[in-house]
Amino acid sequence: MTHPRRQFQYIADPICIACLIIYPINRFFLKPHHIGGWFTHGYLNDVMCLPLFVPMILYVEHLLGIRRHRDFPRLWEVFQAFVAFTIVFQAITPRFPRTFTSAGDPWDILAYFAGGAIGYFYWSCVRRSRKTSPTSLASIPDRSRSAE
Amino acid sequence: MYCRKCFARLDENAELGKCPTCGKRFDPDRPGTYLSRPFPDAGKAIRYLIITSIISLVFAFIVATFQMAGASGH
Repeated sequence: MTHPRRQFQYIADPICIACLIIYPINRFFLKPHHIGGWFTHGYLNDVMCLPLFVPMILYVEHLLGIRRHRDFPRLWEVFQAFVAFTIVFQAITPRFPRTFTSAGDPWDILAYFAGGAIGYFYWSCVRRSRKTSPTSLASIPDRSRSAE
Repeated sequence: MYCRKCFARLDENAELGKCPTCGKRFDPDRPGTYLSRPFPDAGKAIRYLIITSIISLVFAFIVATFQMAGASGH
């Protein structure tokens, strides 16, 4: 049996929950009170974008049966979400200012990238630590044995 | 030989004709029923990439729509 802590928890992932907590704090407290200056006002939500939405996107894929495993997000999955958000928010929505309120800001791309890098670094550290810890090693199913 | 569905090794179970992990049937004499490497073939990988990209783009559009409604501080 696979140890549940070794698996990616999708929306219940700590970094996703942290972003869900920070978002309303930023939206309803930091921004209205102008705490944190330009960073919280313009870029904190962009930094949180990928750590928040990558687990949600992967959870949808998991529910649809497209992502069958529960492994931590791979680099290409984070990069794919980065490209999708960059295209939508920096290339598409700024072309429709009457419909969307998004204004294209090249620094947003750097903020998405920083958030994605932080998220991926965290997920890869957790993946590595759980692979090497003795308790998780004992709980890893031996695929070669199960295939016999 | 690897299972087309779950990528489990099938070499030791060739005589069974089905994957011991997921139960998907295969025929050792028909290469199209199993994989030679534990990876999806190019067509399947491209399909997977396209579908997941569409999901990511749809998700980003949902966030943009949410932002349009003025409910977000994005």
